[in-house]
Amino acid sequence: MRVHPTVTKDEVYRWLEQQTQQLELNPPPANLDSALAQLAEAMATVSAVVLPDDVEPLFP
Amino acid sequence: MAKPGTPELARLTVVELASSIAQGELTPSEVAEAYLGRIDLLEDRVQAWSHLDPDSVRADAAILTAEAARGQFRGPLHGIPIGIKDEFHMAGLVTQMAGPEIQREDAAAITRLRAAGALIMGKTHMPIDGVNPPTRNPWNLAHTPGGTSSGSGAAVSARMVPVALGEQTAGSNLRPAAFCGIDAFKPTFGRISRFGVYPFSYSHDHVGIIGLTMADVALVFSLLAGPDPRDPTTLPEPAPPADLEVETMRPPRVGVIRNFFPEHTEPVMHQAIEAAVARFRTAGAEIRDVFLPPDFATIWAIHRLVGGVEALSIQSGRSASDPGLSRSASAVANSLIPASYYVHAQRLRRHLHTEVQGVFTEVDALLLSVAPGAAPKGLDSTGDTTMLRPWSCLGYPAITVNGGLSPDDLPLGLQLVGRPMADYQLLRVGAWAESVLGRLPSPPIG
Repeated sequence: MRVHPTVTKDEVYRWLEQQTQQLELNPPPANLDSALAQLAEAMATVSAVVLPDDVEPLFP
Repeated sequence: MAKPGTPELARLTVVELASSIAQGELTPSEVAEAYLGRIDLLEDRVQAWSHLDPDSVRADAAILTAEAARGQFRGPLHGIPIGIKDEFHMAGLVTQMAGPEIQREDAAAITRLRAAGALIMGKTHMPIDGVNPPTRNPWNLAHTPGGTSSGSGAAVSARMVPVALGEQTAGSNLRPAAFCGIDAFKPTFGRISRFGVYPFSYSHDHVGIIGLTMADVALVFSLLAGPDPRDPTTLPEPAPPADLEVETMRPPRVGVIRNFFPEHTEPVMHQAIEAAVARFRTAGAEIRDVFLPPDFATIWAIHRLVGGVEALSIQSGRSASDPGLSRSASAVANSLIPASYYVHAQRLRRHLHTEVQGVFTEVDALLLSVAPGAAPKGLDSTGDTTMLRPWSCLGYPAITVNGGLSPDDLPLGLQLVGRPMADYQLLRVGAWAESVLGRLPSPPIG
């Protein structure tokens, strides 16, 4: 999944769904849809911000 | 001075108890009996303790009493009872979230407490693998005490101990204190060693202190802070002094955050914030409205992504013996976070860590609430962490002070946030705020 150009929450959610299908979870865990939706929202949120190339990660 | 067996003794602060013990007015054994009496009286209802061995406490107190009688004092906490969140390893005991094995070594924070003379009372409840403990809020037993430092918050509030250790990854240290009507402090990331503290999220975990006053919290912080070669994230700065010297400080500059947080704040908490602002202003504080930079909107997503990857890494070791862990919805979702997103989130984190410091050129502390409102009813949820996660993610220091009571007599906790490494200055602001707003009394439980 690309970070930029910005992705939408729906795009990320569909990608996450495809990934989970490959995991062959049988049965899938309870509340998986909700967990994927929350994760999709987080990924789309950070994807919307483009930083200068020289901003290094913070690893405390 | 209160004598053993009187409820007043268990309402003293750490500073007051330490002074009385040092002057020979109280012995560590008398203090221990007073708090064991409180626990005996209230534990059935509050359920704060996951491990308590009164005989062991009495034996340790007897040693401390004998030393004091000889004029030997280990340190400023000689004979002071303290509760420890179950997440901290203690030699000879199980750390429940780490599994059934007996721990062989104390966490670094406990080692430092023992060296200062503290009397370790026992371990306090916390949620284990997502299951909340039976701990109840001493202000109203039908309400949560908050979490995950549930037992530590409830125990201090119920005056079962005058001070306790907690830990904050999202909002776990300040929230229980706020819900239970007492003070708490989460220092700058790296100020207190986390060696021997079972991890939730490597770069979000902070050792925290829960107490009755800012002076008590500052005293314990002065003994816990400082570098530790066993925790590579500890900072080289030495511990600050214990004396906050509030009497010599000028009223602080307080910035009231006017974006991102108000939309999550209930009317009763809005009123508590504005009431505090009015009293601060009357007492001479300089009040400013503060607007955080637009990119701050990403901080909750950053915490989710970084915390998710770190939690998965921690759980992977336990998953071998407990396959259910790797099959949970959150574990499956976390396993799908791309490395590119993890690194991008960490870059955003660096960006915000720098950007937000800009607001501190005009203020000494930021004011907001700890939670949207008072402690929710029931034990199914420990409450909302929205107001707290940003500061755990950025590693900024934060405290909670008294914001009064809700119409249904539940505590409303205010939050003050400082710039990184300004822990001592933030504690001074907290002590000043406490002098203006006062402290809540003991809860009506007994």
